[in-house]
Amino acid sequence: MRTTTLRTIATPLLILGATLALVIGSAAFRVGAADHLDAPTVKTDGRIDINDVYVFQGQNTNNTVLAMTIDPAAGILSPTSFRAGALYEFKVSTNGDAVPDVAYRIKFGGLANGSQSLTVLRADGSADPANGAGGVPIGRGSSYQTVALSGGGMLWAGLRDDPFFFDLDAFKDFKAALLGGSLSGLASFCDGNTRNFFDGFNGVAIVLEVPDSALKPGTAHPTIKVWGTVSIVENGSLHQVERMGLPGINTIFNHSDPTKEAYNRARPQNDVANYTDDVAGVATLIQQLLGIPDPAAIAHGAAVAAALLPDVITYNTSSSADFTALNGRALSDDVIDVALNFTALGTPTGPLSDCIGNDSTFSASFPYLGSPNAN
Amino acid sequence: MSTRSLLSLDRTDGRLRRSLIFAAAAILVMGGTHLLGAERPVVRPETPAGGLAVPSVPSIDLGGGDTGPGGLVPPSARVAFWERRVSATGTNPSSLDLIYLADAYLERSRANGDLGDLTRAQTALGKAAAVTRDPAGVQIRQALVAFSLHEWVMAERLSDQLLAADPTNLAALGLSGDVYLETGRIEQARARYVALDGLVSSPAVWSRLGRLAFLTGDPASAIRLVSRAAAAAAEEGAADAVAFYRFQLAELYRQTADLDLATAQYQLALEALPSYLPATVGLARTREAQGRRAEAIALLEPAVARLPQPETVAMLGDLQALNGDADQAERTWALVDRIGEVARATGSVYDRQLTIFDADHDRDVAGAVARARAELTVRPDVYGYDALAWALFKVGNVEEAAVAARQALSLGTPDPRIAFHAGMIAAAEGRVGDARTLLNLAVRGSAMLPPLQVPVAEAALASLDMGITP
Repeated sequence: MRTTTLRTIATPLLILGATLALVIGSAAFRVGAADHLDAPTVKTDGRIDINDVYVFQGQNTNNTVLAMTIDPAAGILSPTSFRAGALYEFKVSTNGDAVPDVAYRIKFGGLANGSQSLTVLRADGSADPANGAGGVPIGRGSSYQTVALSGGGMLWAGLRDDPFFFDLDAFKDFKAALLGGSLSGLASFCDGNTRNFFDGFNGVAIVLEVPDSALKPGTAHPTIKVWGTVSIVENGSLHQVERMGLPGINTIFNHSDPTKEAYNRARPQNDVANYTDDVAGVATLIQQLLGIPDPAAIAHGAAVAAALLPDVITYNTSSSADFTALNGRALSDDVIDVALNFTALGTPTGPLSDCIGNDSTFSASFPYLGSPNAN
Repeated sequence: MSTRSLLSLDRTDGRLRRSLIFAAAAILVMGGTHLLGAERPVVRPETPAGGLAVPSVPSIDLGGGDTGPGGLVPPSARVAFWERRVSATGTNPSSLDLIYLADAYLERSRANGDLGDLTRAQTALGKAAAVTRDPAGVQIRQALVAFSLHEWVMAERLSDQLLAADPTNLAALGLSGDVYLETGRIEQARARYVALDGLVSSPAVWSRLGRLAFLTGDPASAIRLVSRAAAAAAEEGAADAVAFYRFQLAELYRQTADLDLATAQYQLALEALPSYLPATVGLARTREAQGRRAEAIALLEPAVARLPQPETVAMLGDLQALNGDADQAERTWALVDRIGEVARATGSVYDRQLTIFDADHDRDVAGAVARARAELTVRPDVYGYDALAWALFKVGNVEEAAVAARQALSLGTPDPRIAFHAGMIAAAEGRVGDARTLLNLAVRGSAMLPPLQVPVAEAALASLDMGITP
């Protein structure tokens, strides 16, 4: 279980790594959020900006749910719809190499009276989507309706509550103190001024539920690696402009707009080669700021990078999702508390918390996410 | 409120005064949102007298008209959303809520021309600055507000600070380039835009490069770049971005006297965003140039009632005068005077439009010269020199007017308004060849001229052709 252990230790550093991002970054949202508003192209249009990716067991325990929330503060910062012509994808690697073996591709039509037509395609193999998306159509319907998929499963798309929760203001205090060489900022958490910055935010969501066996034919419950992408037409051809696996990678470890943009356009299979230094550098720096001397801090940085890259969510489909073990990500998983405890104490659970818990009411059944908030 | 009822209000009417205060200072021509970095849209600066609309700084695409099912909540509802959140935090406001509240005020000011929203944004940003741990996020917005208020020095200082911290800050790069461009520092602007172009591929960059190309005498490249921006925006589908880039393209076609293409682009802009006033006004100008005055007036009257910008009100007065209704025209022009009075009390963002108006209509020409000189000290671009040249010409100072006109022509900007002013000055100096060349350009591009100046330009050219110095 070496990999799991390393990942577990490394996860909180994703959050602490934001300290460096804050020094360099400028936008309010550039830190703390999971993947909200993470790079220039997606900031132009919230409809192509992934907030979070979730992977968890369905109500039918033989099914796996892949959910993607998009569009930070939907309705307030961007329209509550999907971008027509964009291609939204769940990519799934079933052999551990972070190269997609299966892609579920969702395309939307134009907005008409608040809803959009949609098409779901499945592509097997690692080929990039063609301009026409590629793949075999397995479902057609419209947003706000459950679309049955041939081969089993279903898909729903539309406005929902954004499940993400986090005391972003307190974290900024924590970060400022940390930069000054102190952990006194931890006192900003749970200080009577606690507040979930994401309270009341909505996002548009794509929720896909498929039989485990459909993910890897011939295997009842495969272990999978999952990430979400969004591609748009640029200069006449389709280009990936957004991706997300684990929460916070791009917002924390990459610090300039061009770097963040490049990251969003990259493939997980190349992450180890391309981003190890960046991730290790930040993790090492934070360890040093926490007072951990070299060479331990350097070794730790390397371990973090090795654990976090490639940037995908790993999930054993025979189990319940549990982010504390980096096994999938459930809607209510408190990634922030996990991060704090791992960082400070080295354990996935413990006394540290931002005192923000899940504020959403989820459905036990498909499509699971909470009803949208009234704005 | 119709134009007539607006104009008939008592001069001391408080509502009118408030309306004018909001309209004055505002620059606020509902610019599109333009898309690059982390930052949100900003109010676009006043269309320069004789210039194209300026793209706003990089921003998130927020829209403004894309409301309704599946769209954004209306601007006022967005303001209310963030106001509720700020209010809920009581004496411990969240800096992030304050920043987004400021953004919402900026968006609303874009939609309704309310200067008060710019000052409210400033207030919110001031509070955010006091509590934020991310000063850069506040500073870029403060820079945007300063830019919108034509506070060039402040906008430049803030964007420079941001770039010193992060040379790849796209929003700061765009804003810095815009400040340089608006203040006549072309090569510095070019350097910023080229740097931006090297970092990101975006309609906002092509739009800026297009404006730069036009200013420096390359309208063909300008059209190519802005066409690319418009096509990309159409692909993205955000209504206000589509409207803005279509409008910018339409203005280029009007500048180059291609009125059919201009009309088509204005109509596409209005198709995307029917409430987009700059396109309505541009279409009205085109209709007048096409001899369709009744249509032009029908387009202008509601536009003036909604946002009485000096240039637009002046044009309406011109059309009324050309229709033979001198009394109504005088009442309309009196409204421009009132806007000027209020603007002078609240800010200087309309100075350039008012200078041209006064010079065109031989009203406060001495004041126009003074204002033009004052503005040149902080904004020495070609349109600033053009305004000074025209005002000086109108007070009879032809010699100094000619010096300013040469500055206005120095970049080779193919704007018929600059050509008209410079041509009249050249004629007065007895430089017949230059005058004929310039006035030919002006008459060919008469769709850009204020309606009452078209016969002036034509008569002057005819005189020259007959061997008579006007």
